[in-house]
Amino acid sequence: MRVILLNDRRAERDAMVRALPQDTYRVEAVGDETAALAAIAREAPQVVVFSVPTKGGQDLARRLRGGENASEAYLLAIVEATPANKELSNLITAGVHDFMRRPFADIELIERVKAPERLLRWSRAVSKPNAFDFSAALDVNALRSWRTLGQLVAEDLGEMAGQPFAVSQGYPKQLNGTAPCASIPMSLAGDQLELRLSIVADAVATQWIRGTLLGDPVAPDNAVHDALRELANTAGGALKRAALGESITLTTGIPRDDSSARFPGKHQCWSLELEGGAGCLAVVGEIRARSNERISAAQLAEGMVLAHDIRSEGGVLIVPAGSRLTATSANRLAAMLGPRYFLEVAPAS
Amino acid sequence: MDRHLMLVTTELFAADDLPVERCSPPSEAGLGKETYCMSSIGYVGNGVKGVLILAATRAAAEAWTRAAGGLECDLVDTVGEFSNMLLGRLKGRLLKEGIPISLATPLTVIGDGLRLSVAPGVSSWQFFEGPGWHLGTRLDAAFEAGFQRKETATAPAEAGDAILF
Amino acid sequence: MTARVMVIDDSMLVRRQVSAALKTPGYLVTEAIDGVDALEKLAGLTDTKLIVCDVNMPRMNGIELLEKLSAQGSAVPVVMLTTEGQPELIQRARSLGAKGWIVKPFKPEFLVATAAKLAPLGA
Repeated sequence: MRVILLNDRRAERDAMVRALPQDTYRVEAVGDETAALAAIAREAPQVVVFSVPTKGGQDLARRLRGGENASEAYLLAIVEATPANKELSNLITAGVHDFMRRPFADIELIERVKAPERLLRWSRAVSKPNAFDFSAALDVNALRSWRTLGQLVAEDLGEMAGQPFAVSQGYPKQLNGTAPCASIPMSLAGDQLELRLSIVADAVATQWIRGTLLGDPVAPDNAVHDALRELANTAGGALKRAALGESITLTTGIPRDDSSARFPGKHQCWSLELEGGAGCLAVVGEIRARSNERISAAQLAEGMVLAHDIRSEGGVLIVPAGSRLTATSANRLAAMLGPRYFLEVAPAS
Repeated sequence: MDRHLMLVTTELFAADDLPVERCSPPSEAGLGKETYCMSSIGYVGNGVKGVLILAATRAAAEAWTRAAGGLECDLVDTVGEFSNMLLGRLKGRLLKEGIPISLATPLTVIGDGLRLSVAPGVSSWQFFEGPGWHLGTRLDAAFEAGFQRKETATAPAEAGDAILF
Repeated sequence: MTARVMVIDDSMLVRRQVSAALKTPGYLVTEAIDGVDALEKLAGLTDTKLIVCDVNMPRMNGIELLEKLSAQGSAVPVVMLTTEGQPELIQRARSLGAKGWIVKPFKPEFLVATAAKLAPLGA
């Protein structure tokens, strides 16, 4: 295993080199960042051990991680005896995997440098192409709720609007790329799929939103966009509840404006006409493949969706698969599980 | 399970403009020497496990590949993908029956005169014919003692519902 | 006599719709955009008689807010107003002390009836 050791304290650096068995590790020890980056560029290391400076440790970690050949390296940081909690969490965010506090014994250094070997062996074993990966090949198009999406959405939006919609298949011809649009992502994390529901309003429907939904014919654009987001939210809810009836659990995200109104994924469209020529809304349902990521619990963030259950050591369910994380729950889980707990998530949309 | 397999096979190919009809085995040995490709996908659920096998003639694989807009070299991928879609549709139907399953990834082979040895009595082949080609499907399922279907989930609340606890 | 209701939803349209429905019979309505905002505002308002709360919101969702309010020993009744209809989620909210669950799009008369039951005017 190749180890790059970056430490500007010469005596400590020499001691670390002597501590690591030469028959197991090929250690290249350097005293500054430039030499470390050059060493990484010459030959990819499996482990990078570095002494965190008084200031700028997070940035140093990022630069080491960002160096050519370093994206897969295991980063082990050496910190002072009582580092601030914020310093540690900043280092984790920057990509550091583990820490050692000064002063440390030789045996601790050896054990911590050994740890990534076990992780690498395990990681290779589960990523073999012929291994059972149990990722479900859900055929979304076979779901009745997906095939009848236009009608489903029309019913709920009609309730919201206080009037029925006339539904037809196809994208309204009068809509162009500049029409106001809001979309809501809906995750199937276990299947590495994302469904995206979009609502697009033509010019007449936009005025209808102002006058009827908002009760203000001169309501500002941001109010119209907010209303469209809520229409997308309602549409997402309709699909989610219908899919539940087919034993499919979708995780809804937060609706947002979608200025492009472009739909690159496989999609289907419906046109919802308002009564009395009051305009037309387009409903677009898109299917996108979305690869999950394997990350440290310390990297959990708002918007991520858990791809599997999280259980305690005793097997008690803590958080079920499909849960969408808020900032609150992401922080709570990160604190509970720690940086060495790795889990699979669908990234935030 | 066999009925579901027959229905999803018919549905899948119809959805791709490749209508098929159930037929008798083209020969005493099923597809016999005409077997050119086979794909198998394992699956497992709570108390049940098995494998889906799809076998087809060369003409079938070529027809499916053309329908999917692929090239000659894509035959293996196409056959694997069709078996994947088939089991995906079956998964949806089995879910409604209270039998959730997880799927493995397909293993596909192509070559002239493929032969498959399967344990007798576990399941049986179903054969279908399309325009100028044949395919066979087979779903093996082994249920453990005490297997029980999962209870269908309570229906979700609907729009406008107001519940006071 | 009036009673204060706090509506918590990241959608301005929903906040407006709830306000319109509840102001008509005479409720005083305060708005918050998510769980974090709601907690800050509740700390300064001691006369809130009912909370109407969405589930899916950024920063802190409705279920997490219920957990916080429960931990604080809050006695203010909470009704969830959401597009979610999953029975497990409804049960979770109930176990955390929620008093009701309304699925959007909501009928204003149901919301008013719920408010009248949990936070009657004149009480």
